[in-house]
This record gives sequence, C-alpha cells and structure tokens, in this order.
Amino acid sequence: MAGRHSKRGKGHRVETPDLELMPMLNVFISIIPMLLLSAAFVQLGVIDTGLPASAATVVPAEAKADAPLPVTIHIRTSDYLVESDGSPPRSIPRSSVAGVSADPGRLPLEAMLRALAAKSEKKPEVRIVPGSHTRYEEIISVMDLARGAGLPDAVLADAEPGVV
Amino acid sequence: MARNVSRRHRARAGLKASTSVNLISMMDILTVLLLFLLKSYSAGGEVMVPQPGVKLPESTAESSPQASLIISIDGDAIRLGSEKVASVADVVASGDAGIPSLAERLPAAAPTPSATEGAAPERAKPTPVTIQGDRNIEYSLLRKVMFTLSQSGYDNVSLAVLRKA
Repeated sequence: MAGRHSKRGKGHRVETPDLELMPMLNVFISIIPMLLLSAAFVQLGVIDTGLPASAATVVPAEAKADAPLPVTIHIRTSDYLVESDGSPPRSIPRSSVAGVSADPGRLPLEAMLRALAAKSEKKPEVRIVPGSHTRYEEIISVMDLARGAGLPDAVLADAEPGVV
Repeated sequence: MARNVSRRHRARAGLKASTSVNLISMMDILTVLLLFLLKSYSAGGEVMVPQPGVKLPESTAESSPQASLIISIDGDAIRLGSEKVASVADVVASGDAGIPSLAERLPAAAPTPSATEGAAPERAKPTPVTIQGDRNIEYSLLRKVMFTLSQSGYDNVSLAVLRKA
C-alpha cells in the first residue's frame, strides 16, 4: 500500500492511503478477453422434429381410440390448406412473396389452430407438409404458429404423390 | 519555460517527479464490462455457434441446443461440421433422393449404434444431429439431407434457429 503524505497544519501529517489497483487491473484485463471469446451473444435454440413421414401415414388403431386425428397443414404457394378431423380441407390465402412476418395468412391460420387446440384436452399432432419450393423460414414460421396456438407437436411430412 | 524552471527546482531540492495515472474510471468501465460478460456467460448446456454464411430463421422455440453433430446448409454448400461435403447446386440438380457424399462421411463423423460392435446399452442412443439451415433454402434440399440422415440411421434430428428476443 503506497501512501501519500500531506501536511495539514503545523506538525500534523495525515496519511492519505492510495489503493494499489494494478494487480486488480491485470486480473480484469486477463479475464475480460477470455470471457469475450467464450461468451455467446447470439442465442440459438433448437426445434426437435422427426424425420419427414408421409402425410397419409396410418394412425395405429389403439391410438385412434383416444387421440384426436392429426392436423395437416399444406404450405402451398398461394394458400395454406388445413385438414383436420376428417372435415373438408380449408384454404387460407397467403403470400409467399411478402415475407414471413407480412404474410396475411398468419393470423387466420393461428386462429384456426387455436380453435382446433381448444376442441379437446389431448392436443392433436400437427403435420406440416411443405411444397418442394417452400422456404425453410416459412416452415419454421408455421411450426411457431402451431406452438403459439398450443399445439407443440409439429412434425414435417411429405405430401402424397400428386397432392401438392 | 515554466516547466523547465520547476524541473530545475525539483532537481535542486532532490525530489523525483511522480506521475500517477488515475485508474478509477478505467476500473469502473472494466467492472461493468466484467459483470455484463459474467451475466451473459452460459455455464450450462451446449454453446452452439451458427456457421459462417448461414442466416438462421428466427423462432420462438425455447429448447437449448445439445451436443450434437452439426450439418449446415447455406446457399452454396452442405457442410458436415466445418467440412464441405457437397455443393448445393449439384445436390439440387441431381435426381437422387439422398446425398451420397454426405452418407459416406456420416459414419466417420459420428458412428451409429449399429456400427459400434459391443457398445454399452446406454451408448446405444442415436447420435443427435442438428441442422443449421439458411432461412432461404428450399424444402426439397432440406428433405434430401433429412432423407440421407434417416437412411444412415440418424433419427434424432433438431433444427437450429435464432431465438427471438
């Protein structure tokens, strides 16, 4: 500890202590680059998904008894085609050019998925059937919509030949 | 001039010039920086870095990445780890359902349970694979990669995304 002597009055010496900051500074200078190199500033997440199966996969008989039928969402260039509960497919117009956030079909699709999720306690599985030219971003966006609507189990599926 | 005079004066008095740098403000900055870094430091889980050239899509997914084999797909190439295994243009142009060059290199990167003779039962889990796909790639390309993984025995697949703030 270094000290600085200052005179205050006659014959009175008051010692003003000076902190020795250099060792602490050295530690900081060593730690900060190490943390800067190892820190992850971009937060990555993952979506666990199964490998694509056919959208027409037969649901096992024992599963049919209590589980609701899966909801199938076809992502097409001009619309989303939603099939559920054996009812006729419903089309929701969309724009593949507008970009994911500006897609006008997002809100109606989310509302429809919310309604399907609210129908029964057991949540149906969502099968997303993209077209060959569907962008990856659009697939992830539909998965997000399903998750946001309360249907977390979304898997990729392939269309039956000739459907999309 | 005045400085010369004072220096001479100090020299005559036998005093040494003492210069001290005020480090307090620097210490303040470093302390704040250190606290910020310690807060953002992730001690648990796997720290995954997006591959250069890959613009991941944004998502609300909250699952954290696990230690896994990384396959990245950007506009030009398909990479296994950091090694280029195929060109996107070639894969798109080919009529194959899978990607043979990727299938060839997968066992060397992470052996499947069937490939490891006498593996312990707890080790007999399929190696997880994370696909880091560019947001603009087409599904046909992603499907070929997934088909190849399926054919090679890798069923535990995750899609990497950027978490929305």
